[in-house]
Amino acid sequence: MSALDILIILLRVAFGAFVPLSFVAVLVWMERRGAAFFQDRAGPNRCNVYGIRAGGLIQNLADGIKLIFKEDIVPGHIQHKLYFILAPMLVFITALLCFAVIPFADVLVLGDREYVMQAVPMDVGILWFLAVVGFGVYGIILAGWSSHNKYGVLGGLRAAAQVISYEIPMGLSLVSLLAVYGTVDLSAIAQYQGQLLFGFIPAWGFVLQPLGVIIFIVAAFAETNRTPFDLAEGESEIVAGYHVEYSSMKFALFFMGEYVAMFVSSALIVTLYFGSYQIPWLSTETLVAHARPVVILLMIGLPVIAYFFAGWIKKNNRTHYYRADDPRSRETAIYVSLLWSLVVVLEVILLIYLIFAAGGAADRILVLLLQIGSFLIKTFLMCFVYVWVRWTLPRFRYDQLQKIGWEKMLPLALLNIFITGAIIVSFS
Amino acid sequence: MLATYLFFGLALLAVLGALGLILFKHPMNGAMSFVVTLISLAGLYALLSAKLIFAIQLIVYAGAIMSLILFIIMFLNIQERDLPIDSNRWFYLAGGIIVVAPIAGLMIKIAKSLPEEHPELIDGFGDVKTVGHLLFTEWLLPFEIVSILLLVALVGAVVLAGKRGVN
Amino acid sequence: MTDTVSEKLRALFPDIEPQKVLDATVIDVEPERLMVVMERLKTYPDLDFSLLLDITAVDYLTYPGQQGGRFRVVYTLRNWKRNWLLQVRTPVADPELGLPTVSGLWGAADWAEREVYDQYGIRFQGHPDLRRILNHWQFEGHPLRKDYDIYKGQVCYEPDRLEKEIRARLAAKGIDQSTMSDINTEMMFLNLGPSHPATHGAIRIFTALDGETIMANVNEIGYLHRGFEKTAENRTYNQIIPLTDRLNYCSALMNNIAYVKAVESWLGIEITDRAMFMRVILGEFFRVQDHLVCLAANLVDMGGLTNYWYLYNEKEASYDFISRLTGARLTSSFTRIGGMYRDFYEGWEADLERQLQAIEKGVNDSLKLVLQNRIVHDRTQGTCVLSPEKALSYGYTGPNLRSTGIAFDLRKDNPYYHYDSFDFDIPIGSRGDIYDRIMVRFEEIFESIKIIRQAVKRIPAGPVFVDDHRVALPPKEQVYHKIEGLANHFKLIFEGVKTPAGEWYDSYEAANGELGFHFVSDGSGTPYKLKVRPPCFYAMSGFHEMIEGEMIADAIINLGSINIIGGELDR
Repeated sequence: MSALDILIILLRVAFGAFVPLSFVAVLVWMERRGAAFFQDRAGPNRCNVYGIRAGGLIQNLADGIKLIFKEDIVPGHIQHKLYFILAPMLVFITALLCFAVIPFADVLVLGDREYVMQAVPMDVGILWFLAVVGFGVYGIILAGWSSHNKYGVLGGLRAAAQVISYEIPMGLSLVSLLAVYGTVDLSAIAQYQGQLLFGFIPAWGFVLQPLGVIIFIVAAFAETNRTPFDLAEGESEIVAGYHVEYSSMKFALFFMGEYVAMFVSSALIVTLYFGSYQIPWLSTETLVAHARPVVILLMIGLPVIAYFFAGWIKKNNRTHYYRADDPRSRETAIYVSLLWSLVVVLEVILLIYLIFAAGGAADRILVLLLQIGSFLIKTFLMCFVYVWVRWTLPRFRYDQLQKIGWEKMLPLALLNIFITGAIIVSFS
Repeated sequence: MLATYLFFGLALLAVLGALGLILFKHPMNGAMSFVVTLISLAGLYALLSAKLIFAIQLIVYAGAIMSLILFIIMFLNIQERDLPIDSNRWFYLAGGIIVVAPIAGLMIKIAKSLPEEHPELIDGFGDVKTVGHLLFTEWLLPFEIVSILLLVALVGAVVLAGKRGVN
Repeated sequence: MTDTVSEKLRALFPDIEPQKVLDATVIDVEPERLMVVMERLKTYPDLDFSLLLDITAVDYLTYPGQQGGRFRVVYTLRNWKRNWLLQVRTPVADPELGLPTVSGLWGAADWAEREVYDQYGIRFQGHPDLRRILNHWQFEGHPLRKDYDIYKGQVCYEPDRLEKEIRARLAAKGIDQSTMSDINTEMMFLNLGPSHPATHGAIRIFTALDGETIMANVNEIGYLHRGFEKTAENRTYNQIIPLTDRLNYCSALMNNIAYVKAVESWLGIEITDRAMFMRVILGEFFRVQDHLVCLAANLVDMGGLTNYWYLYNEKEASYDFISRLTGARLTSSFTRIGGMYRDFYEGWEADLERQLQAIEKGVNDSLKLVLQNRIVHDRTQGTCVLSPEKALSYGYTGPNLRSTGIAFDLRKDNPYYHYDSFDFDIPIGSRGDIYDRIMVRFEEIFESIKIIRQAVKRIPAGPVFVDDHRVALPPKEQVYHKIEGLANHFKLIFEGVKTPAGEWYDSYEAANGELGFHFVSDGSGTPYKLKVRPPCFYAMSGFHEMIEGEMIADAIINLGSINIIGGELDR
């Protein structure tokens, strides 16, 4: 193994481990600010470090510190302490492990070597996801059961029954999708979506499987236990369900696990149905071949975007009444200057690239970064859909949820398999 | 070399898990030890490059079946005191050893007859396509028979559950 | 109209002489004949007193010039179709023997008789479950008896297990011990509350569950009991107004209005037109507030938190108007016997109109999320259905009763404050399920806004206080310079507004239903007895009928949909 190999493996693993974790902060922020946006209110915007509030992101820091320093209680009535402690870890780790097989960029070709851009290059791909998601249930069951609390048991039962029964439509909707792609390897699936259908439509999963995408997204929502499927927590009914007895960092692990799961399932939805890292109409090879024009476009586009973003910050980040030595305007000035210095740095890097490094490996790395960006933006938007749905819909009742799973989703998924099968057979 | 260490580690875990399953009194402990065994077995499959079996072991056995069993343990809230007192435990253990001994002998015999040298893996061994292809060509009949068996079991379960609901 | 009631009563019971007190007809019945009379009142189609509003007792121990027995039990009945109000009074010779129960005739009597037993120690023979209800089960003595010292506090620790009661309910449903010990049909007992996010206060909902289905339910209330009625017996009439704020604290001003209206009607005071219109405007405004709170909380229970903000933001914003007007946000205490505390401030119309528009916008936003939402429909339609018969039997009034399809509203049926001259509709439901209860409240918000707009247009100028020296404080000019004025001021403050001796009941359509006050006056400035008829108390008494057979999640949203307010429930 060369040093480059080891470096790339390290980078891949770091990406797989740290991106979901840092997205937890972003998602918690998005959840709060998104909720506030939908509900006509401001959301958290007071926490600051020397007047810098970062649009409310500092609140996450405060919450993190609070959760770390809270007393970590294991209630005296708990008999199986091992399971009680194991449960939150299981929930968190399984959520994180799912991300390992999701490709975040096309295969990187450096010289004569190829590097698959997954944290763990495994060609069982989607099967790994199904396996690990199945393990997530253990965390919930163990948490509910070992809490030795009736609400906990009810929450655990609800969650387990829900996850188990929604795995079936999820698996079935995957069957038809896999029949279309002809592989279970997520890298291959992502590459497949780089093609064009009839020469002008990107061959993304949601175009090929319009029914499957709906079933899969609904099932994915159910698997992450989020509204309208948040019966396991159902704070107004069973208080907090399976994590009612948890406090401090053990609770935080559940909390973060939920957001990691949301990130991972968004990433998976994007990978399977929304073209993964593909930028529409620009396949990897096209991008590599036209690296220079792309960079020039970027160099023009960045300042324009930054200009509008800065304008938006200036418009919104201000005090709405007179204040001597307004801290808000100071804050805005800092943001805007940070933004512009970032733009300048990027422009300089791109310029250096254009003058010295264009062609060869640098093009490949540039495309890799672009595709990572595309993947993260798509995932971010999908996460926003999660937030959007959560703050729009009320929750189901337990029996209605099961009814939808078994009586609607399951037949529809089967129907989808038949239709897909018929089309594939008749066209091949 | 690493593979050998991993093998021994996983094998040890699998045996410990199996022991835990029969020795632990509380059903939840037993079930969790069994999960350990199943995951270790999945690891062993992975060491053999049987990727599909590895994934299926995890999805079906460790994931679905065991979580259903845990679900039932939780649902019925089975505690140690709910279990029957088996006073003939040692009797059963001895009987079990006597019954299992010939099979164990057979296994040891098979293990001894294994070839010493390691055959090269054929391309695509154990991945989804190869196994699927084999299943649907060479082993089609057994595969379908097993499918029907499972279907019958499924229908039977539904019928039994339905009967209880009616009365 | 009430004349016909007297005629009908005379025809049926020739030896009973009905009297007229305000709107109510009052008859005295001997305990031996109580059951016969009550049964006829309930079942005779000519009489059809299907609504048992309240049962209370009076302890005449220290009543001046008192003759006869110490206790008397008063049943307040209503025929909602013809708007007949009837009070049946019956003396109790021995509280230990008490009276026969009427809980077989009206479901509402179950809890009402328990309350009488709790507060006065009068037993009801044949009552299925005669326990304390507002006070703790270990409490000794009966607090509303005149010989119970108001300062005698008791500290009780042991929680009520309620296991006997829930087993009795299970047995009534055919579930015995053997079914419960079977592993397939094993019951789980679950306490929802007293501290539970959905109780919005403190109510204990004790359930026996099969899976998630509620097989039996017993409720324990009284966690917020603070002895309103006992306190009221030690305050002058005007001093009680701040106490009434705490009854239904979501619509505090409606309680103020209901209370002073009851006192004024006995005094025979006709308040000024401007005061009447103020009361209409503010009453309806607070009805809107109350419904906003109820709906917001109910939709949160369903998991739709965004609705909460759409509705509650406007409710919070309304407090700006309310605090500007009354000086307080929640506990307004804005009425006085004889009028209002003060007039509207300059420019109130614009503030109010702005607030109304904001509320309309918030409600419409929320309706957009709810009206076409399949999840909401599935959750609420056909769940926790209450039949009109049961609703009447359990003494439901207000939006909860109207949601079952019974168009009974005191504002239409027994109009006061010119309500008959306003153009508004009474929204009613068709099935009595949760959906109907929610939608009736949504519609009532729009109807109330309609009334407010009309009233704002028509409100006349003039004083807001009657010019009556019995109730109105004299102008400061007279207090400082004339002895009559000073004496009048002094007596009104120290002795309170004096009411003529007697007993009366008067009611008001509050946000939650009929809010009634039953007074006994001995002629002094403090009420001898004051009993509230809280709408929630009776709504809660029928709660178990609605949720048995439904699931936990339904019970939670049902609790929100009948709008239980702890302050009013427990008093």
